[in-house]
Amino acid sequence: MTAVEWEEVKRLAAGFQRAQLISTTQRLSERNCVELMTKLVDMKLIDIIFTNDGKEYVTPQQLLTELKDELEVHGGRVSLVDLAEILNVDLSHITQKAAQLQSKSRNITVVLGQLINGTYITQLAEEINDLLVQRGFVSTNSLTQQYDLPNEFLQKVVQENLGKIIRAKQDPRDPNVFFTEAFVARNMATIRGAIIGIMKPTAVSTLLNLCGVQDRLFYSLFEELAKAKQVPGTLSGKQVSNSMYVPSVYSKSQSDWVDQFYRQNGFLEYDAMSRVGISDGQAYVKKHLAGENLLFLDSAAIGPSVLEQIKGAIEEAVSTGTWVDILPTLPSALDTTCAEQILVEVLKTVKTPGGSVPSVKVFNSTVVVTESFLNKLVVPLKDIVQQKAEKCVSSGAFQQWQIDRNQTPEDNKKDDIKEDKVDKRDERRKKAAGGKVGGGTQGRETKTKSTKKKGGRGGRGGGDSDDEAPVISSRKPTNLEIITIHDIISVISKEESFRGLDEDDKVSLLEEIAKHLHLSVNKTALDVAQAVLDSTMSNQVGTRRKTHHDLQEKLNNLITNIRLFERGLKGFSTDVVPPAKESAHDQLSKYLLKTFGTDIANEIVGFIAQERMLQWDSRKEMLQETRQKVAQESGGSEKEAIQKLNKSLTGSSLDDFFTALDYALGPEVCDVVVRKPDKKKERVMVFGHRQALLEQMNTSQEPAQVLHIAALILCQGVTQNMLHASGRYVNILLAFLQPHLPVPTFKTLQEYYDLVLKLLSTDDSDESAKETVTFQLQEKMSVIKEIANSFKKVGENKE
Amino acid sequence: MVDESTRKTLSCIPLLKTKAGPREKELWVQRLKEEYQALIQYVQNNKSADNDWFRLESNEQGTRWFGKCWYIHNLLKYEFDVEFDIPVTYPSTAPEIALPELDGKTAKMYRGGKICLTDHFKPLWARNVPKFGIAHAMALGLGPWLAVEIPDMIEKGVIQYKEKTEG
Repeated sequence: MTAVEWEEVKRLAAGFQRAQLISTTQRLSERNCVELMTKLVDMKLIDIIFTNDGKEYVTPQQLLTELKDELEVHGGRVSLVDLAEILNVDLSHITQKAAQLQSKSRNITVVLGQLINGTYITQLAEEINDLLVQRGFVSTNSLTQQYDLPNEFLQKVVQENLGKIIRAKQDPRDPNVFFTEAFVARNMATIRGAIIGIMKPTAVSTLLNLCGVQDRLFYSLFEELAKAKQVPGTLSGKQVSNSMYVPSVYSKSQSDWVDQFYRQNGFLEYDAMSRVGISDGQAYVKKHLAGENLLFLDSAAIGPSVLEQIKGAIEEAVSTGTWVDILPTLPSALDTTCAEQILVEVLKTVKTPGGSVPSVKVFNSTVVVTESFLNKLVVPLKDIVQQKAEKCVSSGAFQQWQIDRNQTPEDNKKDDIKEDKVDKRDERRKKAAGGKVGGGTQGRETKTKSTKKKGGRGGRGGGDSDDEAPVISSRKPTNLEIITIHDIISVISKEESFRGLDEDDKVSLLEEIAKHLHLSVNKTALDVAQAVLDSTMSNQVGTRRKTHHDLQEKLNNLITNIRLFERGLKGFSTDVVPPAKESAHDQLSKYLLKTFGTDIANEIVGFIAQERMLQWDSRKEMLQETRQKVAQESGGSEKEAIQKLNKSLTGSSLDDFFTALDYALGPEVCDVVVRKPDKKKERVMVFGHRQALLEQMNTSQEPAQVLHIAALILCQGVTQNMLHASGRYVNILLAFLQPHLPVPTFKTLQEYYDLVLKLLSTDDSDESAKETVTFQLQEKMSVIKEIANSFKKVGENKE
Repeated sequence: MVDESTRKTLSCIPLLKTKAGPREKELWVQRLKEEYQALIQYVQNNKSADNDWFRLESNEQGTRWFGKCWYIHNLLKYEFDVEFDIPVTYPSTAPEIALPELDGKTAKMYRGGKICLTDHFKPLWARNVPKFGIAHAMALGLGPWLAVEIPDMIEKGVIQYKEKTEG
């Protein structure tokens, strides 16, 4: 057993030896391998590519093969990033290899980090072709989005396959766009249809909307159509979205319309043109009717025929010396402003038959009136001018106006004859101030500013009328208007040729003409008035002498009277008898001054006022104040004289009055010769006075008056002088008479006086008492009259 | 502590079961058989791992073992003779492996060229009696010692490379 065991040990020992002797397997550790590979790579003995984890190596050839394989697997297009992931190789190696691949084989390309081979491109081209067939056009821009490939690449693909796989053509304007022939043909047909159908100018955008054609395509197609002469119209604007398509039928109809209208009417109105779609009428006309000699106004172009017509009308009016309104001659479409402009133009060319520039005025913008016609109109005015001027002078308004005018400081030394000169100076002043041309015109304007509403025409019309219508200085605040515009209108409206006008036109035209004429007519009227005034003034020299003489007469009479009355007063006592405050003499002399003295003073003042041309009213009663006023206005010795007179009148002394009167009548003031008192004449006057009193008394039935006059007569009889006293002084007279009369007579008078007082003091209510008193008075009246009459005789007898 | 690779190597060596020294004739045979089996396995393992580092043989009784061992440093193979006896108290006492060539050349060695094993070895061996055998002694004792001492000695110039014909 042991032997067996040992045998086994031996066997094992041998096995052990064997085990030790067998060569060890030559196994390289991973570490060694890596080292080895590094060494090999370092020595550049092998070319390998490490995988991402560094544990595997790939030879470049293998990588290329793998790339190709992967490309095939992915259907011809694969992203390099994806490849790097799939092959577990760094992206840089992949990119490098991909570039190699691209350079080596023509089919494979690297685009945008993607590897693409020929089959994919072919497929792509086929897809694009399908798309083209479907849609008709395709743009690489949209394809870029769809395939996520760069535009250039796609374009290259399409261009390469154009005509092979892709049956389409490239848009010559936009290389990005491709379309099929069918699509082009379809669009062209659409466009052709649209533009043929369009009758009026249409925006291209609208057109595109209508036919659904892309605008870029539209323009190229439009050009093609235009080349093929299939476009009945033009495109305005340079290929921008706001360009317009204008059909030629439209522009033709426009131009036809313009031609026709112009041929028919001789003018073109821009308004009407804009209605047919021509916006810039003037430019259009200038282009379209270049050969025509047109007049361009603001709102219309006027042809020569219309101008000729108007010219003819005006020339006719000029040659016949009448007037013409051009508005009816013009086409109705033209308004007044047009007419005005035309008129200005035409008037430049119009000539009289003699060849000179006609003198015409334009009224109411359109009415041409010849100078001769105006002159004709003035003729019938002459009568009324004469009448009015005379009336004006006789009423004193003219003189008043002259005085007013003279009172303005600058002109008070000028008279009418020098007026023109004054005007010119005024004019110059006005020009300097206003700066506006035509001072004369302005003057006129200022004058008639309240009524006249002048446009430029008025200014022009006035400009050439300056010479024939001398201007009245407008500086004067008031200008005398002898002839009113209304007067003129009423006269000239009788003119035959105005009959045909309708009322409104007539009124305004007449007003215009009247305004125009008014100045000259009024001037004439003023001249006439001046003439009338001059003639009356020359008459006045005679009358003045006469009035002075009259004054002298009158004053002499009055003075004689007053002297006689004064003498009558001498019999009255100067004593103051209570209850009277003044003596009988004073009272009476006061009364005398108040009556006759005032009369004399008034005469003198009136005369002075007239001499001085002062304003006063002779008809009115002259009062203290009036005289005072005249005194203030006259000045000098006259002022002094009047003041003295005034003063003496307020006193009660007749002597003072006479002194003042003497001064007033002196050569310095009135130059009145006072005649010496004539006894004989005085006696006649005294007698005449008495007779007049008697007459008055006998005819009177009024008790108080009868008593008054009787008292006066009695007094005259007593004093042999005239007495001037009012009824108020009857009691004074009676008191004076008392010593000179028989007692019964005086008693009768006294009783009668009492009765009169009683009658005056009795109330109206006491009818019966009044009646009895009246009755008594009537009864005794004859007695009183008898006393007076008889006393005369006594007086005469005494004499 | 034994390093990881050593532990791994160790685990691949089959463990022994019989506890017997050379004196016990019957059982020693049994033990010897197990020793051989373990050694064969260990060598096979080494070969397969490209880690063959020794040649060993014994006398008939299996009490004395001798052979060669080598260490490769900087691509040079340094080869040394190795010998040891099985102690009588084996397997309780571990065999004393000696490298007579290197006697006196290093401090880590006893007289007669017996290698000075690490502090770990003996307790480890003691704990694993009778499971550890010659193969374990080689793997745990000589292997690590060579790996530490030979490069040190080459560095010091104590040992020189000698061209060997035998590979």
